[in-house]
Formats: sequence, structure tokens, C-alpha cells
Amino acid sequence: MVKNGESPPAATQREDELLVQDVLRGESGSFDTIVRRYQSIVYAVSYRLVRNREDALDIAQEAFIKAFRSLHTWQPTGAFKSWLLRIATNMSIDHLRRRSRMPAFVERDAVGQLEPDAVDERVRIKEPSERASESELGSAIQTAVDKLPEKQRTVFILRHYEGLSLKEIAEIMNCTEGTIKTHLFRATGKLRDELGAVRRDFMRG
Amino acid sequence: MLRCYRARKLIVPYLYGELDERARTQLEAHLDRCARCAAEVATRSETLQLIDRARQEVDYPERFEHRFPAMVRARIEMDDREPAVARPLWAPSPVRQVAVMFCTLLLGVLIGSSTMVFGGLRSAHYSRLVNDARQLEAVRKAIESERVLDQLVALKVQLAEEGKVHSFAKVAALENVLVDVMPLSDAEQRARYLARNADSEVVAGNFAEASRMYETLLQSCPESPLASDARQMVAFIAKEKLADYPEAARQYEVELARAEQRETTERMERAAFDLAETCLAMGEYDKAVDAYWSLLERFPTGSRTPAAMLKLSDLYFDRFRDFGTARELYYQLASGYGGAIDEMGARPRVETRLAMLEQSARYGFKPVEIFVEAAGITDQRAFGLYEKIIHMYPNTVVAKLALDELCVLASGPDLAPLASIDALSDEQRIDALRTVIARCRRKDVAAFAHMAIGDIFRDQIKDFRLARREYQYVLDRYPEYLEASEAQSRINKLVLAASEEDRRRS
Repeated sequence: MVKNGESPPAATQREDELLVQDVLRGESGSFDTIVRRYQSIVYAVSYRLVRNREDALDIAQEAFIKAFRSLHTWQPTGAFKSWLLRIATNMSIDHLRRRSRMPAFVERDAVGQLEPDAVDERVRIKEPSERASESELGSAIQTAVDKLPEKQRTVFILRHYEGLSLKEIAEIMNCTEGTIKTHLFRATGKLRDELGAVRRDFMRG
Repeated sequence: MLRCYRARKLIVPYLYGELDERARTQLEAHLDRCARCAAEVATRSETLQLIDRARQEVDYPERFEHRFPAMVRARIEMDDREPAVARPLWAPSPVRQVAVMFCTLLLGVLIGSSTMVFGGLRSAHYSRLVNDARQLEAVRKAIESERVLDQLVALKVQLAEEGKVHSFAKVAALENVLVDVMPLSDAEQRARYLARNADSEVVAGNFAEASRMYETLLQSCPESPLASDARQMVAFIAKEKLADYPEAARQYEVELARAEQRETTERMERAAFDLAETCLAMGEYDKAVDAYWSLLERFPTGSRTPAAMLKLSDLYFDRFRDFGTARELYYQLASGYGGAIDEMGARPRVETRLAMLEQSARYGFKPVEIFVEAAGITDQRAFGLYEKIIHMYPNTVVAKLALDELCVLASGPDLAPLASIDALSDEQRIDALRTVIARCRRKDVAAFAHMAIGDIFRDQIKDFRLARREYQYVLDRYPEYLEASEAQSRINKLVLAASEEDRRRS
């Protein structure tokens, strides 16, 4: 059901440390290796948060560039992946805040850009009889996730969609695991309430 | 015994499989007894299953795996802004000009704000500040207007055309800075995001993807100042990188129409020229000629006039064989646009062709006609045509060029269709001329080739003994031909020069 989130093994952490040291020594090729290692997750997290391909691509790039510029400030006490994802998450949230101040912008993104693609994708896969209900379900879930407060939504996306462990999420969000559990508990509760009717229909069907 | 308060704290890690064995057993024991907590777990678990059921996958851009690292690298390089070639500080640079304007803008903003803050200060000081601010406001308006962006756009397209990726990246970065400080609408904000990504795709060499992004920009923000930039880039990529000429032509036509609407001369001229170039690349020569002429008529003093004129002359010469018009155009180029043809590296071609045309005008351009016909074929028939020129029009520019072409043909099938005479060294040229002599059927052609060998010994290798021997051969072997008397006069000159040299030494 859900990807099993595990902390990065010590070996990965050690490799990251060595790569960062290489980059700081001036071997910029090692930064390519870092980019390849984490580009998928950085993009995926940004995409899940901003739900727009172009913006996610821009944010993912910016996140790596910012990481490159402030690589000397990274402390190996925490995982490199978490540090990188913190940058990407913060940038995505900043982007969303900026976007929320531009009503026209949000409207076009939400209606014109993301939804038709996402719906089309499912329509191609599913049987015709399922079409309407499945796409309704998809947009109901998206609306419910969108309604979550910023932190709950971020935590939920990181845990549920990207399968990061609670410990990793705590590092990314710069808080305790207890706080993350609370956010997640509230988020799942709100989603359950929001999707109550739809859930009952589907459980019956 | 676990209480509800404690049990609830375990629900989330339980749902996500992050509980250790002991805690899990404890919780499950509690759930067996407590219907409320069990319902909490069950409803949440169902909700998560439901969400998984309609899970939307992440929409990765095409070939994301491969492209993304290059894009990041390009962006880092783009931000570095290190000059590729050291340029002296005083050298005028378009990038520098815009940078200066940008600094002025910042200064304007600073002084503008200080004027407001210290508005209550002494009146002389105040009015000076206001005056400065007004001037800077004018600069700011100029920057805000499309003019500056237009200049940047032109520069970017030009740099992309010249393959100067590093400078392109720098200008793109500068454009980003400029657009950042301008007051922007939502649409333009969005356009900026798209343009930036597309630019980094260009820098990373992913042209198809860049083109797609520019098109998205065009569709979603057609009124943005960046749209013109995007259209130019789509057209440029279609023409130069994807060889999709119809698409390029379509984009240039739209760009031309829009520039006409707004009466922006520079953009109009550029679009007209690019349209003509695209027609030429497509092989639609009639259309290309019309487009170049219309450009010359509308912008007779424009910056692209010499280039358009050169393209037209070449078309008339090579394609339409309208030598009268070609002569007129080459003449205008040579007499009025010396600097421009040097810049285009076209002076040798223009001057040679003009000389050919001037000289053969009295023969109704017949020699040139045969020459162009021969240039279009590479087999034995071409050899015969060049021989014919040398035989019929001796001692003309066309005859000399025909001999050069014979050398190229004689130096081997690999070289013949591609290389020009300049690709041959002196020794190779002499070898080629000897092959021409062996192969040709006309004695006057052989004599002409021997003379050419003598000239190479005399002028290039400076071996006067061998030069004299070659001329002597012509004199002995072909006494009845024109070349013989010429050979005699060259021998005399060589003897004279040698005796003068001896006298000077003694």
C-alpha cells in the first residue's frame, strides 16, 4: 500500500559526504553525480507540492543551484538528502505562497494545466464505465489534499507519496518526530472526514 | 495496559509500518478491546487505500534522467557569468551596455526612494535629487519599454545563431535580472518561468525540448514581451537545429506581421531576412528572391542590406544564371559595401565573380554561362567544358578560373566535388597541372597549364631556373600559340632580373 520509508543507509551518507568534499575541492563533476542521485526525488517532491511540471522543473533546478552555492554550510550530522529536500520543500512552499497572491495564476494552473492531463491519463487506462467515478475520485482527493494546512500537506506528501520515513521528514521539516506524527495524524483525520462520503461509496462498490 | 491517549500516538507509525514489534503488539491488543480506537485506525487505513487507488504519478519531463543534470550544470555556468574571453575594460560590449543600463536602473530606484525619504530636506538639495530622479525615471521607462528587451532578444538570437552558448547564457541571465526588476503582470511572471527553463535547455543543447517550452510560452502568454523572443527562438531552432523549414517560415511570417503591426523596424527587418533565409534553405528560390528584394526595397539602408544583396547576387549567378542582374548587384556590393563583404568573408568571391562578369559581358556572358554549367557537374563533361572556355576565351579571368577547376578535377575524385583550388599546396597544384596536361585534348590548354606551372615556380616557389625551363618548353613546343609570345616575354624579364641581381652583387 505505502512505500516503506527507510533512513538512508550509512554507506549512502558516507558517499554523499565524500562527494560533497570533492565538490568543495573544486571537482564540479562530482556535483553531477549528486544531481543524478537525487534529481528524481527532488523533482517529485516539488511536483507533488506545486503540481505543475514547468514550475517543478524550475524549482528542482533552483534547489540544486542553491545547494551547490551553499554546500559549505551543510553539516554531515544530518542526511544530505534531507538537507537537499529541505531546500526544495521550502522553495516549493515559497512558490505556492507567491502564487496564492496571484489569483489568476492559480486558477489557470489548477484548471488549465494540471487537471486535463491527469484526467486524460486515467481515462486512457480505465474502462469507460469507470471513467466518471474514477476521475471524480481523483479530483476529490486532490481537492482534499489541497485543503490541508501547509505543514500537514507537506508532511503527508513526503510520507504518503514519497515514502520518506518519519525521521527523515523530521530532519527535512526541522522539527521532532513527535511533531511530524501529530501533523500526520491530523492530516489523515482531515482527509478521512473530507473524503468520508466518497470513501463509503467506494468501500461499498 | 495501553490507554487511548497513548494508543492514538501510535496510530500513524502503525499505519505506515514504522512500529517495532513490542509497540505493535501493545497497540493491537488495545484495538481488540477499544472500538473507538479500532474505528480510528480502520477509517484512516481505508482513506489511505482510497488515496492510493487514485494515485497520480509524477509527471516527469521527457528524458528527464539525462537532461536534468545538463540543465543544472548549464544554469550554474549561466550564473557564474565569467567572461569566456578576456575583454579589455574599455571595449564596447552589448552585454556591458545593458549591464550599465541595469546599474543605472538600480541607482534610479535608490535615488528615487531617497527622494521620498528625505523629501523634507533643504529645497536646493531636494530639487537636485528630484531632477536626478526624473532623469533616471526616463532611463527606467526606457528599460521598461519593449525596446531594451528587444535589444536583448536580438542579441540572444544572434548569439544562438553564432553558436556562442556562453554569451547566450550571460545575456539570458541578464534578461532574467531585467525582467525580475520590472513590474510584471501574472502572465509575464509565468512567461518568465517558461523562458528561463527554455533558455537553459538551449544552453544544455536540448533543442527539441527548448522549442516545446518556447511554444508553451507563446501559447500561454502571447502578449508578453518575451513572446517575440520565444517566436524567434522557435523559428531559429526549427531552421537551424531541426531542419523544420516550413515551421520556421510560419513563425517568421507571424513575427513579421506582428512587427509590422507594432512598427518596430529592427524586428521587421530581422524577421523579413530570416524568412528569406528560410525560403532559401527550403529550396524555394523564387520565394527567397522575392523576400530578399522586398527587404531591400523596404530597408534600403538597413543592417542586413549587404547580406541580402549578396544572397541575391549568388542566387542570380548560380541558380537563375541571370548574369546581367548578378553583375549589377556584385558591382554595388564591391563599390558600396566593402566593409560588409570583408566581414562576411565574401570579398574574394564577389571580386572574382565581378571580374568574370565584367570581362565576359562583351561575349554576352557566354564564358560565365559555360563555367556555371560546368560547376554543376563533376564528370568528364565538366573537364571538356572547362577546356572549351580556355580554348575559346584565352587569357581571360574565366579561363584562369577554368584552369583552377581543371586542377581540382585532376587532383582526384575524392577532392573534386568539394575542394577549391585553395586546398592545394604549390606542389600539389603543379602535380595537378601536369595531370591536366596529360589528360587534356587541346594543345592551347596544355600550353596555358605549362605557363601556370612556370608562374608558380616564379611567384610562389621562387625557383627562377625551373620557371624559365617551363616557359622555354612552351616556347619550343607550342610556338604557334598565343602563349609562346607571352613565354618569351617572361623569359626576357627573368633574364633581365637575374643580370640586374648579378650586377648589384658585384
